[in-house]
Amino acid sequence: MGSPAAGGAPVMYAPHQKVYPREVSGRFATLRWAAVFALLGLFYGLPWVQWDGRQAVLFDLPARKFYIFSLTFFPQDFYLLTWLLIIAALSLFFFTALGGRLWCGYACPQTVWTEVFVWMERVAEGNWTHRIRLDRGGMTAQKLVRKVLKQCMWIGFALFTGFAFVGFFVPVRTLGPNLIAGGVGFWAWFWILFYGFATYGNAGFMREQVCKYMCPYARFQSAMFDRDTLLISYDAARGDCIDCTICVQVCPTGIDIRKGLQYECIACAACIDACDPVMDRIGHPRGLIRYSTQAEMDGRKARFLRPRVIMYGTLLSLLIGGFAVAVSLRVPVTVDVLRDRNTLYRGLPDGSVENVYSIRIINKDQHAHDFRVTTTGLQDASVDSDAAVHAVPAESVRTVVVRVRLPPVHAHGGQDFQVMVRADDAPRIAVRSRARFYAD
Amino acid sequence: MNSPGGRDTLHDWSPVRQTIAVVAWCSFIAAGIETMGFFAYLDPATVGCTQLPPEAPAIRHAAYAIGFFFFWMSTVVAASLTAYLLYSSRRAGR
Repeated sequence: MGSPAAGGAPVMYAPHQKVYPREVSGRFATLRWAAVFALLGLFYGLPWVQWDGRQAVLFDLPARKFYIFSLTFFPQDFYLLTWLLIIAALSLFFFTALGGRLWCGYACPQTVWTEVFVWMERVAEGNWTHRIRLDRGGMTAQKLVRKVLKQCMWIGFALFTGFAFVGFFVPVRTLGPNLIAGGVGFWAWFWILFYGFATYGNAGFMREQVCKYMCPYARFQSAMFDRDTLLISYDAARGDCIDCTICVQVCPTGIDIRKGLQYECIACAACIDACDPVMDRIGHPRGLIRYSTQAEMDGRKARFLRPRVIMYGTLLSLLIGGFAVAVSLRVPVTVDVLRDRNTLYRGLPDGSVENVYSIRIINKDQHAHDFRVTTTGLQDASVDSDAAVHAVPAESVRTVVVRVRLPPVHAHGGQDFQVMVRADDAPRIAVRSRARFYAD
Repeated sequence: MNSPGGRDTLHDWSPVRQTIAVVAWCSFIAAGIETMGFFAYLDPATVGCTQLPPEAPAIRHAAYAIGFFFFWMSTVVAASLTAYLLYSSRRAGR
């Protein structure tokens, strides 16, 4: 980085200069705004949706329960989250192979929130030429008012964003009143400010620099590219460019697409929206800058189905199918068997041998159940506990102590067996866990 | 800014600034994943006791946040050291 460039000449770093993207309208700008409304609508609106008398989507960290509509997840379901993250990553690969940096241009939170922040900047400070003039000029009352207005909008929106974020973790309907009444703890405030500050910094100030310097995806996305991947290209061979530079002026990352594909390009297609009306005006066909593929640019036919796409697609379908099966077949009960730590085994007066286990029954179901504990794999074993059935309320954990006894004829050495926990009222709910029985 | 003709000067973050941003950000992601994994298997409210204490939610709230910052700190240290060793060796080799 600070090392000499290939030719031996030192690399010079001019201080970063702010990009003033010119406003643009067109097909792809409309599409992006649709994405902004859909995604931010989901983000700000989802916490307010109710389901069965509770918040539909709530990650209740203090209670260690995740609610997603009719499903409740416990920490024991962590593997499902890991699975989901793998699906998300592979989807990103799949769509990158097909459509290039669609994620960057339309769906990435960085893009989506930046779009809103730039819009606020435009409302407060005027269009791009006004903004440049305002920033270059000296401080005037008008400049101060505009800057303060912009900061108020940004900070207000950032705090609202932090609030919505915390609303996924703390019941959102009581969060507002509680904040005002002082009924929430330190950490709720802390995370609202933290997330709000991150939004403000990333979407207000860092913008395209996040993509250029900090985003891992921006660096490795080219590995998913092939000659048939959709990308934004300038058709230099057409020779229609009138050098109006509007495509450069609208670029949110400040590059010139006419210099070819660059890693800074987030494929937002603003340059396409900028170029098409110019082509219309001068009477040339649209698409001097357009979504295209390397193959098409080289004059070959673009292929849609190719080994890479088929491989990603197949793998993705398998993972999604497996995930759906895993979630639907999930038995809403988990059992942990712990041996009594103090005594390995105990001889009883009648000669039989007793082992004591603590059995933690985690009822993840939204209904209470009565559980019965039995064993399999131990001949003539008897199970003794405080009660024949153990009632565990909905979404609760209960630890029961169980004494397993073996008659002297069968009690010798260590034997593996299984503890069965079955719900009396729901035959589908039955789980087993491995345990070991010790005797002389 | 967008001057017609694109970027004739290389406008960039300085290496130091880039390093700070990348270290902070990447270790943030790593710390987030570590926190999720760690607390999925460990309930901070039950550490050192068999019964769930009544103030469990408050303990968990604080523990998750402190745990997250602890992980973040440790990943920042690891990433900073890595960056330092890489750059200083490059400089030493010149």
